[in-house]
Amino acid sequence: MKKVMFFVGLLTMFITGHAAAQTPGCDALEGAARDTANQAMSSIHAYGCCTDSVSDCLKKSDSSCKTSELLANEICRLAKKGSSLKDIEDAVARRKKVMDPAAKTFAIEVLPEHIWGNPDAKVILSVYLCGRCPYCSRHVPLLIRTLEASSLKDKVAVNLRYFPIKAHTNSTPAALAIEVSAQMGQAWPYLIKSYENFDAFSLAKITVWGQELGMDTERMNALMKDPKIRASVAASKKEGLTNGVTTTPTFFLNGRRIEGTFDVEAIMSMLHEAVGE
Amino acid sequence: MRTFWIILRDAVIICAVIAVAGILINAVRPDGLPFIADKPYDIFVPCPEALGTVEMIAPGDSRLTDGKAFIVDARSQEEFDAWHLDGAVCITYDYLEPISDEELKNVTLNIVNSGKERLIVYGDGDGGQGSTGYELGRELAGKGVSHVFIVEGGADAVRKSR
Repeated sequence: MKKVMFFVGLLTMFITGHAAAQTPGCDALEGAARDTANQAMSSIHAYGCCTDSVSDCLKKSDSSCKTSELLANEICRLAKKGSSLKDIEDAVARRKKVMDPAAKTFAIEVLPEHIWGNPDAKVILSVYLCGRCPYCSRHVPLLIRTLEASSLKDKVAVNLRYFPIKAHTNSTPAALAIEVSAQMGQAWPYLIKSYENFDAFSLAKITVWGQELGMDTERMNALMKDPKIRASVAASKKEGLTNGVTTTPTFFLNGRRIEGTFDVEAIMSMLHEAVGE
Repeated sequence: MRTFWIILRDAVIICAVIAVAGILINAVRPDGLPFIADKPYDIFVPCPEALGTVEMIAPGDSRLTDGKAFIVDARSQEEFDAWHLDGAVCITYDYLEPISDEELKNVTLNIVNSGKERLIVYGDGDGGQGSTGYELGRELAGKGVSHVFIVEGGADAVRKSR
C-alpha cells in the first residue's frame, strides 16, 4: 500500500510540476524558471475578463479572454529572465494598475505632429523623452522598430513629449530641433536619426540631419529661434513635471503611468492587451 | 631555489584546478555566462532630473515671517514687480535651462551671510508639482541647498494670507 501511495505521490508531483505551464512561452521553460512561473501563475490573480488565478483562467480556455494568456506569457518571460516570485508579483501588480480603467489618468497633450503610428488609434502610448538621454537613444528606437514589425503598427499611436533633462548638455537645442522637425512633419524620423547618431551630435548636425531628411535648412534655422517652438517644449516639460515625471524615458498608456524600469517586451505585451489582441 | 619552483608549481596547479572547476560549474548552470557575449552589456540607466526633497508649508505658516527664512519668488520679473513678499528676491524659474552657477552662488552666499535658517520658495499656480515655485525649490535642493520649503497655493495664497 505504501509503495502505491509513493508512486501516486510521485506521479502527482510529476504532473503538477510539468503540466502547469500552459502557453507556448511557458511550456518552453525548464528547471527553476518553470517552478517560479508555476508558483506565480497559481498565486497571481488575473483581472478583466477572468479574476481567478492566472493558471485557473488559462484552464477555462475562453478564447475571448486574452488577458490571462498575455499575463501568463509575461510571467514566464520574467521567470526566464531570472526574476524572483516577488519581482514577478510586483510587475503584474504594476501592470494591473496601468490596465485598470478606473486608475488615475494624467492630462497629456496629443498633437498630430507628435504621433508615430495611427493618429486615430484609441491606444495612445505617450513618452516623455530627452534628446540627449543615452538611455532613450538606445531604447526608444528599439521600441519603434519592434512596433513597426508587429501587428500593432496601425493600432497604436506613440505620442512624443519633451522632457529635456537639465543636466544633459544641449538637451534644450536637441528638444527644439525635434519640435522644429515636428512642425515640418518629420518628428519621428528626425528623432530616430538623432538617436541613432547620438554620439555624433553637435549643434551643426541639427540642420545636417534635417537636410538629409529633406527639410529646408533656412526654415529650420528660423524655427529654431521661434519663441513658439521654445514655449511648446517648455509646456511639455511643465506638463511632465506636473504629471510626476522625473526621469526619461517615462511612458503613459492612455494617460496611465507605466511604473518600473523600461522593458520593450513588457510594453509590447501591455499594448497587445490594450488593443484587445 | 628548489622550494621556489615547488611553490610555483603548486600555485599553477591550484589555479588550473580552480579555473577548470569554474568553467565546468558555469557550463552546467542553466544561466551560465557565455564565453563570448552574444549581446552588448546594458550599462545605461534611465536619465534622472537632479531634483531634491522639499517640504510644503501653508501660506500662513509663521516660518515665512519669523525673519529666519531666505525667501525666493520664482515667478517672472513682471509678476515680481507687480507684487512680492517683503524681503523676497526674484529668481525666475526656467523649465528648460538650469539655474546659473552665478545665481546659485548668490543664493548660497546670501543665506550664509544673512544667517538664515531656511529657504522658502513661492511661485505661480497652486504651488504644487509643475509650478515654478515647487520646481525651483526642487532644483535648488537637488543642487545641495538644504531646508527648502515651498508655499502651498503659491504667490496668490501668500498675498491673500497677508
